Amino acid sequence: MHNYSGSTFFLVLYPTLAMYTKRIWLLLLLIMFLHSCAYVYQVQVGDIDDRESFEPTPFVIRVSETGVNLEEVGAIAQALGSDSGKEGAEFLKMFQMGPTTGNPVYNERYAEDLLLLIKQKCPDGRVSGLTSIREQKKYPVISGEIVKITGNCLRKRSS
Amino acid sequence: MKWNMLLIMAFLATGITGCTFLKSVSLTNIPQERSKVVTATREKGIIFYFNFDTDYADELSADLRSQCEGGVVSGIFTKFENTCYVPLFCFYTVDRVTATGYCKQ
Repeated sequence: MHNYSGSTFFLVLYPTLAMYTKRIWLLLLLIMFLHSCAYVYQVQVGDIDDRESFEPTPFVIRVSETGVNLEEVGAIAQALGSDSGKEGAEFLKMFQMGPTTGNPVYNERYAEDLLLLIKQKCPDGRVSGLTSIREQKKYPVISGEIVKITGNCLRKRSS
Repeated sequence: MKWNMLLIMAFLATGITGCTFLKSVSLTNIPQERSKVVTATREKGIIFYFNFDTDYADELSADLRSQCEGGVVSGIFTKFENTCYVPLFCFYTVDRVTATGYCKQ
């Protein structure tokens, strides 16, 4: 067992600990700001056709829009000493009501082209096994509000 | 001694129980023939909200298809639920997607 005297602690261990503490803080900060947590809000599976007369071709479509968390904006504004920023965020929130999933986005039509995108992926076949997932990738203040569609395009097998 | 037991019981009561939340439900057209039922479940355990992907739900459709090879699965009921363990903090949560449908060969 090591028996460090008080001077050894201050001369050797304390600077080492301080160095590692700085690195740990840096690491924690990086984890806080660089990672993104993923949340699922809704999953839906459509009818599946697996008849042998069709050949399935899988496809994936993903559309997304940036969401803004006004509560976090307000909290950061308050932490920086700006009460008006928090008030502004609260004022904006008054216009965003109703049931929602995820954070508000400023282009509410971002998922409207999904049908067109499915048509583009499967212009001449039947679409089967459609799975739609509404998910969110969350970063500090902003988020990615995502709709993901996976499915199979069925085309008649040439015999 | 009694207080210790009471504390342990309180800890167990809050730590071991779980609360379940239903997040979404969907249903497709139900067929007339409903003799063969197929079910698929996918789940993911998440520690303290640290979840980096949602790929676990992608294979649900393939799971159902593999149980009904050469047929059609319809009337699919999809349920997405979330169970939160250690309810005070949701320290450990499980996201679970269950799909049940009817297979017509």
